[in-house]
Formats: sequence, C-alpha cells, structure tokens
Amino acid sequence: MWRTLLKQMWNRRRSNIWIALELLFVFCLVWYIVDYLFVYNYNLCIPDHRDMNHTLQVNLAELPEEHPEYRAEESEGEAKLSNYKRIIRVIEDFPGVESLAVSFYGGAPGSGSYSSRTIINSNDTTLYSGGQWITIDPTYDFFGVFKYTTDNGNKSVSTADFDWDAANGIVIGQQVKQSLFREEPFFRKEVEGWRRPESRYLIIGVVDDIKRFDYNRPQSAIYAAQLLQANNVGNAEISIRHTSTVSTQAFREKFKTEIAERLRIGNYYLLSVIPYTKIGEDTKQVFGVTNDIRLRLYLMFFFLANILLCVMGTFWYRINQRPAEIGLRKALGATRISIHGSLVLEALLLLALVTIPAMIIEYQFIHTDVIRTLGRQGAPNPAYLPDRTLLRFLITNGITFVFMAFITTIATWLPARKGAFLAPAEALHHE
Amino acid sequence: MITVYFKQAWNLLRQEKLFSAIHIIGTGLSITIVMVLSIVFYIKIANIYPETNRDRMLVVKSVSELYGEDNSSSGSISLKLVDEFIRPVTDGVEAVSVMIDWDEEHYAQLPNNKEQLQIILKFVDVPFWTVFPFHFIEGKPFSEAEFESGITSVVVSASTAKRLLGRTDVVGEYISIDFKQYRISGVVKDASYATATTYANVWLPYTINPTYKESYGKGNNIGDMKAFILASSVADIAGIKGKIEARVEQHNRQEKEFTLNLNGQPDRYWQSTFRFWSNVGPNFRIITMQYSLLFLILLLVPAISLSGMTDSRMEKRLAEMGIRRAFGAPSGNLITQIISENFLFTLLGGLAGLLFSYVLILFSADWVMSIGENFVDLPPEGTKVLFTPSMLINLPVFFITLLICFLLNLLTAVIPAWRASRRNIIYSLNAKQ
Repeated sequence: MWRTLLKQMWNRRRSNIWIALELLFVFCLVWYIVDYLFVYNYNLCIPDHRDMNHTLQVNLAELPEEHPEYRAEESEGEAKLSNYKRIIRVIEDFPGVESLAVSFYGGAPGSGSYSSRTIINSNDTTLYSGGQWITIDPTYDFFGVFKYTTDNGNKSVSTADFDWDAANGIVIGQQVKQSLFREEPFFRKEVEGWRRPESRYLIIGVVDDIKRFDYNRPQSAIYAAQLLQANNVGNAEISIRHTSTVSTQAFREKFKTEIAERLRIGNYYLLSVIPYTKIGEDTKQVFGVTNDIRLRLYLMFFFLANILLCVMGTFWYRINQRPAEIGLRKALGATRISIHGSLVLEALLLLALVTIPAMIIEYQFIHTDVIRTLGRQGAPNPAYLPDRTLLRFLITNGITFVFMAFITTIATWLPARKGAFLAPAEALHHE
Repeated sequence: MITVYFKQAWNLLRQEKLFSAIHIIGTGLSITIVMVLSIVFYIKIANIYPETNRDRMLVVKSVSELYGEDNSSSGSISLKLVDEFIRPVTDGVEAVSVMIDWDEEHYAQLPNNKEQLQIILKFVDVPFWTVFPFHFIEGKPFSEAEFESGITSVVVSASTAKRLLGRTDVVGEYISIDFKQYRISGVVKDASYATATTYANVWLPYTINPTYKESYGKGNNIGDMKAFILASSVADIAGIKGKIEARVEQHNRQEKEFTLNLNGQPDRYWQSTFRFWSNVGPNFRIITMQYSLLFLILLLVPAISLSGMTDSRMEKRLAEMGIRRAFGAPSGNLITQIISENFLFTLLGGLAGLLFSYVLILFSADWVMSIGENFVDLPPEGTKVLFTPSMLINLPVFFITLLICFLLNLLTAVIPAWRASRRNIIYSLNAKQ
C-alpha cells in the first residue's frame, strides 16, 4: 500500500512539489515559533514559590509645596517617618488586610526594577553567587505577603521566622545556597561582598527560588534587611495581602474609597492602589514579551492557514481532475473509507517526507545560534529541559508535526470526502 | 486585450467558486498581515497630525560621554548640550523644540469628585507649537514671557478639558494636577496616542519643572530632554546634521577628559523611531535585513501555496493552452494572459485583505503600534489608541496595497504561467477536459 501511495505521489509530482515546498517552508517557520512557545510555557509551569494573587501595591505621594494644606515641617526627617508609620498602621488595621510588607528600591515582585550583587563564601573564595538583591524591612512580613515558601514549596514562611537581629543577616535562595555551600552546612556562615571584603553578611536562612517574571526560569535572590528610616522612606514600597474571600478588584475599590481620607496624614495622600498581578502583566508588556507572544501566535495562525488553503486547494483540483481514477478504484472494490483514508494518508505521507529535510534546516538555525531561549542563565543546566538541546529539538519537532498533521488532515478532509462520495458510474463516465 | 483576460478570469471565478474563494482568501490573508505592518509603519513615520512636519525633522534623543575604553555614561540630553551644539546651528533651521518626557505617574483632581484621573504630561517650550502644529480650538499656547517666568500656564487637549471641566471653552480656568493649580491658556484638538512623541493630556512649560536645568556627566551633557529640529525644507536636513556633527567633532578635538558621542544623531524622524538605547544607535543594516526577511516570508509563504493552486488550474486548462499555441499564440501572450487573469484574483484578495487589515488594526489598537519596539510605553488606564480615517485610508496605503498585490501576483503566477506556456503542444492538446 505504501509503495502504491509513493508511486501515486511520484506521478503527481508536478502539484505535489508545490505542497511539499510549502510544507517544508512552513514546518521550519512553525517550529521556530513552537520552540519559543515551548520554552515560554515550560517556564510558566515551573512553580514560582511566591504568590502575587490577592496582593496590592499601595502608592503614596506628597502634596506640592504650593498646596494650601502643605506643611513644610511634616515633610522633614522624623515627622515624615512618623507620618509614614502612622499610615502603615492605618492600612494594617483596615478590615481584610491580612499582612503588610515594606520593601525598598523596587524589590517587590512584578516590576522591571532589578538590583543585583555578588557574594562570596568567606571560607572558600572560589564559591560565589550573584543574585537579585532584595531589601526589606523585617519589622513587616514581606515573605508572608507574597507567600514565600521553603522546602521546595512544602512549607510557608514568614519574615519573623528568621533571626534578623543578627548583624547583617541575609536570607538566600536555594540557588545561591547551592552555589556558595554545595551540600555543606550554611546556617550562620559568613559571606562577603564581591571585591568588597569589608561588607560581611551572615546567612540566617534559606527560602525557595523565585522567578523574576512568570516566563523566566527561577533565579538567584538574596534578601537583606533595612529598617524604615527618615532617609529611606522615599524609596519604600508598601505591599499588602488581602483576604482571599473577596476579589482583588472588589477589595481594591473598597480600600480606595474607604481609606483615602484616612491616609491624608502629614503631607501624604493616597496616590494609587495597584494589584501586583497587573504590575507583572504591565511589565511583561513594557518588556515586549506580550507583543512577542501575540505576534508569534498571529504568524503561526497565518502559516497554518496557508497550509490549510494550499493543501485544500490543490487536493480539490486533484479530485476534480481525476474522478475517473477514483471511479476505477471504486469499481474495483475500494470503499469510501479507503478512498478517503488514502487521500488523507497521501497528504500525511508528504508531510512525513518533508519533516526530515525540515529538521536538517532547523538544525542550521540552532547551529547559527538563532534560537532564543527565554531567560537563559549562564551555562546550560541539565536539570532544566530547554537547556537539553537534543531533547528539546525532538520534542518541539514532535509538537510541530502534530500541529501540521492536524491542519493537513483538516485540509484534505473536504476534498477527500468529495472524492469518497463520487458515484462510481459518474466517475467512470469521465473515462 | 487585458479586458478580455479579465472577463475570462471573471467567468473562471464564477465557475470554480470554492477554488476561487480559497485563492482569494489566501491572497487576502497575506495582504492583511503585510498591510497591518505597513500601516503601522506608515502611522509611525508619515506626516500625521500633530506631527505633520516629520519629513523635515531631525531628532536628538540621547548622548554618551566616553571616559576611556571601559567607562562611559549615557542618557537623554541636557539643556546645556542643546544650547552648545544644536541651537547655534541656525542655517536652514525653522525652529528647535526641547521636551522633557518623563515616564512618571501624574493625576488630575476632578472638581467635586474624590476620584483622580491618571494623565500624561509633556513639558515643552514655545517652539514646540511651531514644530508640532497643533490645532488650537480655544486660546493659544503659553507665551515666551510666561515660559521664561515659569508661570503655571498650560495647554490641554479637548477631551481632557471635557473630562475635567465638562466643556472645551475653558481658557483662563484652573485645573489641579498632582494637587497643584494650573491656568489653562489654550485647548487643542486631540492627538492620537498613536503619535506618542507628542501625545499628552496636558502640555506644560518645562520651566515649571524644577529639574529642567539639571545635567549629569563630566561634561554636563546628559539630562532629561530630547530635541526636535525643524528644517526649513527637506533639502536643508543634510546640512543641519553635518553642522551639528562638525560642532561635536570640534568639541572632541579640544576636550581632553571625555569624548562626546551622539551615536549617529541627529536622526531623521523615521530613524529615531528605531532608537531605543541611549548608549548605542540602531543598526539600520540589521533592521532592514530583519524587516526585509519578515516581508519576504510573509509574501513567500502564500506565494508558494497560491502558485501550487495556479499551477493545478493550469493543468486543467492545458487543452485550451494547446489550442491557442497550435493557432500560433506566442508563449509571451499566454504568460501575459495567465498573469493578467491571476491579477483579478489577487486584486480581489488585496481588497479583502486591506479591509480586514483595518478591522485587525482597530481590534488590536491598544498594542499594534508597539510592534517591533524593544520597550513599550503603556498608556494610562482608560486611554484609548484612536486611529483617524486619514491614518488608515490614504493614497500611500492604497499604493502600498497595489504594489504588494502586483508583487504577490508576479510571485504566484509567473512560474505556473511559464511552465504552462512551455508544455509540448501535442501533450497539451491531448490533455483531457
């Protein structure tokens, strides 16, 4: 049967060459998109070990000096700090607020801000790790607000679980721990800043790794303490977790309406309340990732639609042109299903034949380093599937083949159905 | 003759409805995607209100100060740089405008309403209104004297005036932005967010901004501004660019501590839309290659598929071709006939594609203009990206559509036509149907 199919395909090589060329071209292009989306979705599936749902960023601003209610003394030193702390207490007491965090310099999740530092194991300076440097005020529950975990997601943590009274205490992520201490004990071990041996830190705990953005793989992070003071209050960010029994949208509206006037303390006023999930989505848009995905999906639809039209159009003509051949086959006992099947099979066989040259062309893409791995970090990590090039290559080609086969089957369905339902007498009449 | 070919093609279209539909949809799909990209680029670089002088405009957005091999500093430009290197060049220059375009959150306070309205501000100067000729519905721009004295006199867009005060005849009235009072000196016709360089709800004199004189770097050339130079005519652009570059070169010959680098600026306006980083200029060779490749793929994928279908159609009409050749029709005539017939399909597909591209642009208005941008400026909540009819329906867009139809038609019809015209006459005459 296969030999007959191949022979028939060879006999129709004039029209098949166009379909094959289109399948080959589109296979490579669709694979390129599938590969990007595979890594994107793979990263989405990796647990984040923190949760931005039901969390809100509370933004404050100060009245301008020209405002009639502006009081210069309220914006100075201790008075400003005291006002800020009063505001925090008002927010904490608002019904539905479960926990509150204060962080500095864009350390809260979702935003595009990024500050990093490298630290070295003081006992073995060959061991070092860089990571996002997140500064938090340990008086408030940063880990609780964003539901950080330890023990690979099995245990929730709160900021109070760590001994922040220790001088220069820092909490590190799993990746940092692994780079600095391997399997050695790490608790209360000392580390120092890269090229800054005078900056010494004490490891007071470990939390699970987080993803900076949901489409990234988990990455290194280091959490340092800084108390809210008069000189850093301008860089502080207030985050809250609200009760999960109400939607964030509903809570936000209620919060804004009911608390705005109570937050008019000193020269401060409530500027905005933004869900962290929205901040994350906005950052994804600002960094062009959302548009990248949209554009790739549009292009994939365009390529697959072209395959659909190409195969459908050519097969339709073929059926119209060769009714005699179908009539003859029917007269010799072929059933509707076998006629239908053979036409679909012919298209799928054509697809299978172009898959090998397509993979050879794709290999050239990889060879010339055109393929982009989202959030690549240093050397390939064998535990991270997208870094295992061969396996990823086979999986993404498999997915591409399934997509293409699905579209090809749909495309041949209508012409094949027409062929299968041709009456033998009518079909033979053409002969 | 062409009319006969078109009539024949019209009859073919009516006879083979499904095949024709597939052919037209295929063409339409291709035209849609290509036209979406073309219209986006058209809106980004063509003369569109209020940026109607883009074709004779030069832009300087950023600067680098190089302190050695590995040490440099870069950012937006300072007022000092404008005064030292841009403003002294006057030959062929109609106006120079400087703008502070900060990405900060600003809110307007609505009268008798606790709700605040997030708005976009642009801090501009007096020549801004010459470089970007906004249409004033009411009032006029702030005067030179008001600008110099830093008086809080502002221009608002008509829609902002309506949202804040309920009407547009509001000249002389006050609005509150970030709890500070501003007097309205003029109301302009709204610009679309698609013209993001100038789009704002409120335009303020940059002298209001306390940081406008601030500068950074060893030479104090880095600041928070960008400059727009309006040439008297397109022919003056090269001269102005050369003179600014010469001033920078002369400065670098005398300066020992650092090298000033404008990274290829001043840019033509269209070039500036590809400039995202302050320390490195866009590589137009790579950008051209990338977009050429994209357009080629977008045309080639449907071209192969449509060629295959046209070729199948030719197979069906072999007998007809055979007869025409037997009666002495030269191959060239047959090729012209096939290409002309095919052009009817392509034109119909092109028309459908253009209409669908309008639909697609309107449905994806909030993000389509940021295609190809490394960093996307998000409009504040509630800001809609509006497209005016003149942005979408205009001669250049129709011309591009026609050109793409012509190209696509050549790509899809030439090979099948050539193959059909070269078939042996005996074989063609013997073909069934």
